[in-house]
Amino acid sequence: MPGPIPILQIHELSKSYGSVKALSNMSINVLPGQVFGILGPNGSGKTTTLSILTGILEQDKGSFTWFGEPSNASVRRRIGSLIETPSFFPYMSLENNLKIVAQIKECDGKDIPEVLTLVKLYDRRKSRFSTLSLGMKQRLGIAATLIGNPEVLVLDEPTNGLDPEGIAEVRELITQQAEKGKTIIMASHILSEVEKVCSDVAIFKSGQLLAQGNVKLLLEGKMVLEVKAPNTETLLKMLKNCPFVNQAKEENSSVSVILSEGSNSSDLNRYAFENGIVFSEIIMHQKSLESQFLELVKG
Amino acid sequence: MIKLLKIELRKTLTYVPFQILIGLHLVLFIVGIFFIPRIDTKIPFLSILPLYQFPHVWNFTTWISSFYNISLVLLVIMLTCNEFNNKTYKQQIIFGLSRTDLLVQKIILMLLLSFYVILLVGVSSIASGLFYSYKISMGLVFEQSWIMATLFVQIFTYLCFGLLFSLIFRNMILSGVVYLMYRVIIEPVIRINFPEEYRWYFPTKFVTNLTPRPEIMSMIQNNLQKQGQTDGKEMEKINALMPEGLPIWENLILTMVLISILLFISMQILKKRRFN
Repeated sequence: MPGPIPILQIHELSKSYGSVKALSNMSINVLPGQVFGILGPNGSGKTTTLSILTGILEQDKGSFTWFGEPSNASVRRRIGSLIETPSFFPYMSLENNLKIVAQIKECDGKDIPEVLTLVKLYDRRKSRFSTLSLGMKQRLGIAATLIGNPEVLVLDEPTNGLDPEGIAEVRELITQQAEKGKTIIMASHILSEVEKVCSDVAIFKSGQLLAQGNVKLLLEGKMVLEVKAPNTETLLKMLKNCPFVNQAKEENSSVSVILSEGSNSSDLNRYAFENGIVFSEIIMHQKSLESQFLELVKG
Repeated sequence: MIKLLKIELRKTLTYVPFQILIGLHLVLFIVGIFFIPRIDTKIPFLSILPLYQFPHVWNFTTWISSFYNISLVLLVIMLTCNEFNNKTYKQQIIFGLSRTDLLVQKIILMLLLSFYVILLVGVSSIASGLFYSYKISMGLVFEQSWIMATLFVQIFTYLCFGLLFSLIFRNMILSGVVYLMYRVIIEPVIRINFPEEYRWYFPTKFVTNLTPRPEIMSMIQNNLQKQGQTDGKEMEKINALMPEGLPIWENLILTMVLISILLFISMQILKKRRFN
C-alpha cells in the first residue's frame, strides 16, 4: 500500500550566490503531521532552503512540490510562513497589517483577534507596527502565520529575538499547533529547540544534507566510557584492537570509549582482563546532544 | 483584481505622507486654476478669460494639470520604494501573492491616480467653463472634452516611468532624481542633436504633446481684435511660433507602445528581483 503523499517533496535542490554554493542537491520529504526540524550552523543553507520553498528565491537546479503540486501563489496561501525577521507596513496598526495578510490569503480575517490573543498582542492591536519591540514583531510574525488556519507552518528561527519566557511560549504554541495535526517545518541552529519541539530532523552543513531522520534516533546521546589503566599507551592499543569498540580517544589521563551497539562495560572489562589489562577506573556517562550534533557537523 | 485593489487601497490610504501629498496636489491645483483668472484684471487690453471659456477650457486645464503630474510620479516612486525598504514585497510573496500580483497592485494604484486627476480636471473645467462662458450649449461645452482621454493616457505613462525607475533603483531619492534628470536634462539634450522631424518621436515629446499647449496667442488675439488693438498680420507672426508636432492619434499610438514597453520591463525586473 502506498504511504501518505508527502506535504513537501524536495528533489535535488541547488542554489549558488556567485561562487558560493548555498545549497547542493538537497532532497528532503516531509510527511503530513511531522514537526520537521532543519538544523544546522549559521550559513548552512537553512534560510536559503526556506526562501526557495516560500517563493522569495528561485532555485538554480532541482524541484519541489507542496501537497503534490508545483509551488505557486495559491499553494503558498495554504502555508503560514515566517522567514527571518517579519516585515510589515510600519505605519499601519497590527490589526490592519493582519487584515492585509487575511486579504492575501483570501480568508475573512475573523480569526485576527484570536491569533493576536494567542501571541499576547491583542491589547496592542491598534498600535503601529513600528512601535513594537523585536520580540513583539516576531510574535506578530507568528500570529500572521496562523491567519486562515493553514495546514502547514514554515518557521525560520521562530524564537529569534525573544526573551526566555517568550521562547517557552512560542515552543508551547508550536507544540499546540502540532497537536492539532498541522505539519510544521522549522529551521533552527539551536539544538535543544529542535530536540524539544521536532519529531524529525534534517541536519545541514555548508549547503549539504548530512543526516535526516527521527530526532530521537539521530541525536540520541550515546553511552561513553571513560577508562584508566596504569599504562595508557598499552590501554589505547588494546582498545583499538577490540572488535566491539567503535571509538577510542585519549583525553587527559584517561581514554574515552564508545562501544558498538549490543556491548556494555562488562564486556569491555572482561576483554581487557583477558588481554592482561586491569582498569584502575571506569566511569560511564551519556554523551551530550551538543557533542553528538557537533560530531555530525564536523564530520 | 478586487482583492489587489482592496489591499492597495488599505496600504495607500492609511499612509500619512500619501494623504499629505495628495492633499497638497489637490489644494495647489485648485488654487492654481482659480487664481490665474484674477490676473486678468491686472493687464490692460489683455484678457486670458477666453482660456476659461468653453470649449478652450478643456485644453487649458489639461495643459495646466500636466505641470502638477510630477508630484504624482514622485508619489508612485515613494510608495514603490517603500515596499522595498520595508521588505513588504518579500513578505507579500511569502503570504501568497505572485510577482505579477505585485505589478498589478501598482498598475491599479496608477490607474486610480489617473482617474483622480481626470475627475479633478473634469470638475474644474466644467466649473470654470460654466462660470466664465458667455454662451453655453451642449455642443460647445463638450467640444474639446476628448482631451481628457489623452490626459489620462499621459498621466498613466508618466506614472509608469516612475514605477520603472523605482523598480530599477529601489531608492526613493535616486529614482526621483534620475526621473527628473531624464525629463529635464537627459532626453532634451539627446533630442536636440537630432533633426527636428525626428524630435517628435522621443518619449517625453510625444507624451507631453498628448495635452498640447493651448494656442494662447490666438485666444488673446480674438480678444484684442474685438477691442481693435492689433491687426491679423501681426498675430499670424505670433502664431507661427507655436510648436508643430505629430497628430494626436499618432502621439496616442506611440504612447500606448511606450506603456507596453515600460510595463513589460517592469514585469521582467520584478520576476528576476531577489527579495531578501
